Amino acid sequence: MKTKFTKTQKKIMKKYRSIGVLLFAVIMLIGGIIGCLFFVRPKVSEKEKRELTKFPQFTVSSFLDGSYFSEVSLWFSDTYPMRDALVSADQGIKSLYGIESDTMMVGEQAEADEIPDIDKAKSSEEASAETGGQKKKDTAENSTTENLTTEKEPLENDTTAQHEVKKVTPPDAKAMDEEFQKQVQQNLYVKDGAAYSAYYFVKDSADKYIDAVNRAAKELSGQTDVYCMLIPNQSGALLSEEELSNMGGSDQMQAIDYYYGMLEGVKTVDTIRTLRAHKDEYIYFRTDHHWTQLGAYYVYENFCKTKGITAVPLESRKSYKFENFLGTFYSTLQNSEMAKHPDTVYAYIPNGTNDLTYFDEDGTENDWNVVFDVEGWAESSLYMTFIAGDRPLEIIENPKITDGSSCLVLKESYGNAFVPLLVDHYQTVYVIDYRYAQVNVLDYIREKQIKDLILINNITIIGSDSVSATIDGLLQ
Amino acid sequence: MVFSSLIFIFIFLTVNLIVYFLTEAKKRNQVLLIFSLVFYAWGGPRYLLLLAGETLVSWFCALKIEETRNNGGTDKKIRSFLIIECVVLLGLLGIFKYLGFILANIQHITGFPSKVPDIVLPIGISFYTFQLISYVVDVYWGKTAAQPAFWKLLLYSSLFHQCIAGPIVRYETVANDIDNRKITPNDIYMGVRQFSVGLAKKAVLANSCASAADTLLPAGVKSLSAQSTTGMWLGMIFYMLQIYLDFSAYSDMAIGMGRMIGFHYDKNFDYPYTAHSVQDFWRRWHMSLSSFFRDYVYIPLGGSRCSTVKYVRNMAVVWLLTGFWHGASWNYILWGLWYLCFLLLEKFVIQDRQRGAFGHIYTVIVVLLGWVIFKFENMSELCTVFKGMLGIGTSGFINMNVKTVFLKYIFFLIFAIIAVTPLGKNMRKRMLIAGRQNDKVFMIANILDMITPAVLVIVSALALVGASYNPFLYFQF
Repeated sequence: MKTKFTKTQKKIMKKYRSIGVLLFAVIMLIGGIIGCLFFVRPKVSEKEKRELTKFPQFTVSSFLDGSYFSEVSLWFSDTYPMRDALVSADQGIKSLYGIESDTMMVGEQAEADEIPDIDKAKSSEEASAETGGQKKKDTAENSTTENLTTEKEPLENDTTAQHEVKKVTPPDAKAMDEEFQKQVQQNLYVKDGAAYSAYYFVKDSADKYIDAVNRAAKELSGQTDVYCMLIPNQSGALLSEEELSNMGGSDQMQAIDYYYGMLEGVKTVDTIRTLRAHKDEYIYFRTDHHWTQLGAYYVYENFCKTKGITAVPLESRKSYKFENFLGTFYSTLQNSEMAKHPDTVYAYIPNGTNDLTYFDEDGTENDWNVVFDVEGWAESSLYMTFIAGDRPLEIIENPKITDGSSCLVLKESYGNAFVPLLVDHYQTVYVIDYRYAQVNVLDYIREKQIKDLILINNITIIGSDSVSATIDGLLQ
Repeated sequence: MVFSSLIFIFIFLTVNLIVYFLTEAKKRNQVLLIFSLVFYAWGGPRYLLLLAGETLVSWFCALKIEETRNNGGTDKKIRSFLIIECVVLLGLLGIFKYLGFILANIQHITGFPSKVPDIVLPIGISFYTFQLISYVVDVYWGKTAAQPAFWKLLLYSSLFHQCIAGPIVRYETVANDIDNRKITPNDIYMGVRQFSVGLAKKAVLANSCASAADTLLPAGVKSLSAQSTTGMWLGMIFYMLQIYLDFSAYSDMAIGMGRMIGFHYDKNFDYPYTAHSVQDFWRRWHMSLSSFFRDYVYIPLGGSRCSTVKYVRNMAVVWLLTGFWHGASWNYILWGLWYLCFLLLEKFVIQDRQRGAFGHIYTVIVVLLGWVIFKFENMSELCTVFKGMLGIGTSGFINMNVKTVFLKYIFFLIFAIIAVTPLGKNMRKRMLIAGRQNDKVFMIANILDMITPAVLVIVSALALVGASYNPFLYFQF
């Protein structure tokens, strides 16, 4: 038996290893050269729908403590040329790590607060009202004096109000979005290419929200009706009791009942019972955390009943159909079953008008459509068809109605599919996304003499502490 | 700058290697020094002064020790320079690494001081402090000659390969390499190979383990107690894999980069999870650290050739220090004591009886539970996980999240477990041996050898770009 390599074998080995080193060097060089092509560096990622890291600003202190260079490192990898393609390739490799089962649970379990019994909660509130009574009286007096003030003074009030709003609105809407994303996607149950997010009741946030809405209703009583619609996650609307209990988290029906039960002087609109009755229909997307416009329509029917108006049927409207929608759940999970069966967005145009004006954060006015033709847009962006996505302020004027009626919708993205349905009932529909809002909502309602304030919120999102605080701030 | 970043691999290292090999042999050390200083400054230029200052003190003390000895100075005088060195370096390490911790504890007991200063740990201080101390002590012991050129000693202490995350290279190991190093084609290949293996270990394996471990063991007592018992075990297994793959990857990259240009650093890990006893584990884990404590603390204290009481004392000192070196927090001290207990148990009770399969299983479990102590600086989190692993206070035995993670990572997990054993290395060796007689196997082995580094770099680069994948819901158009 030969125990050593022959001379030729050694030569061959040497040759191959030299080629190996050469290959390594070539890859390193190519990587370096591509990395230096700063002009082809992407600024945004289509795939992730976010702005990529910017090259940092130089300051002496960030230079000295090393944060400048760490930002540079981050910028270098985050905006590496062809990143979306490279990320896809990496996800391809990662998909080999294991088995993606048809049914799975992705994320972290969280602990939820217990949902209090409404009757008990109410009686305990009455008891505590004794002590808090004085304070409540004070605020009530303040508000009456405010209402009695002369023309000159509201201006002052206005500035102070705006000042307060600035204080409570988180400076960075992006930070809230991130928290929001984390919340909605905290713990996902995935079944046959559809994802369902678990819901965790948070008592403090719930009470903060309830107090804010109650205060608004009291402030506006006699002038403006306040409507509240709390939209469950797809899990609460679609899944069986058994699946829900396997998922963990809180009971959404019980939670919504708690919110509704604690609201005073607010017209609540049933959502979850109706949606559950239609659970076999296409009322939520499978690859995205939003509901479809059909889901919104069923809640809209309830809204019309509560308000005492006649709903305009979907079939009477012109509509768009956008296929191959792969939404936020898909972005997170990259689930192959989802990719095989993407969603379809059906969007119904109001009969009255399809024109909308929206205002950017810097106040720029833009003309857009209530339902926009998003054919050919990125597969992940099709929900943007509704009311130009999320904007600080949007105004829809319906020329077919001239009775001076108006409503203000305070919403996050769940409201987007709902707003087009309201257009046929009001001369003016104002829409404020509370995450980007820069006005005090109550002052705005008084100024514009708006008849209906409609809150339409997803229960997970308002369960976030910063969101309920923001709404609280806007309704001061 | 971390080794596992695209900017390091594709810009810093690539440029470094190009400049290095284009420079004439005489000036290559200067090139290395400049690159090392830039590398260190990348993490915060102000701490460069600290590194240079400590090196200056060590350079001076070593030279003085040698000079005094050559001039026939007294032992006391010689030793005084050693004491200066230790006081200055350990003092600085104490201030930067431990002062905050110590003050916080004093504050907790006495209420004073009212405010604990927030001191930022300078990068690599734990590593280069030990390197410099070992250098001066070795000069004091006459094991190595003092380096007359300050900049060469600075090259030793700041060399970007090992400055910030080890291995703790002894001066005597590289003293010769600094002045005369020869590079053979085989050195370059093996260096490139080890670097690429390390990079992939970190970018692909360790980072994936980390994301699985983080999913299963989220921060905070509340979230932890929502986890199931199986989830905690699986999470800790991923953490155990992560910490080895991560740490040994950095050593691999350091050793590989050194070897590419002719530096020969000793190996730092020798498949520690295949150890058959806890003592064996510590012969294989972070070898440059354990040998430092052995040579500069344990043996000078008398080692094992002394009375039982003294032996236990020596062991206790070494393991308290080992624990404390890893971080200024009580859990690291506990972690050191944990190992002390098992080492004493092995010495006095188990002795040589735990060989074979039992020995391996026992060692892995001791090490795994040790990592629990290591992972959680927060004592209530630590208790939650310890209890949870025993089935107390969890949300149940298993839940669907855990099953999902397990299935999602099942092949990866098997691969990662293989990667911490010498199986891959042995297979390559066997293939080469078989290739001596079989041309086909020989060619396959050669082709594998040829493409491995390049493929690993590509896969790692993809993983590093992918690591910033962060889908964001509400993008403003």
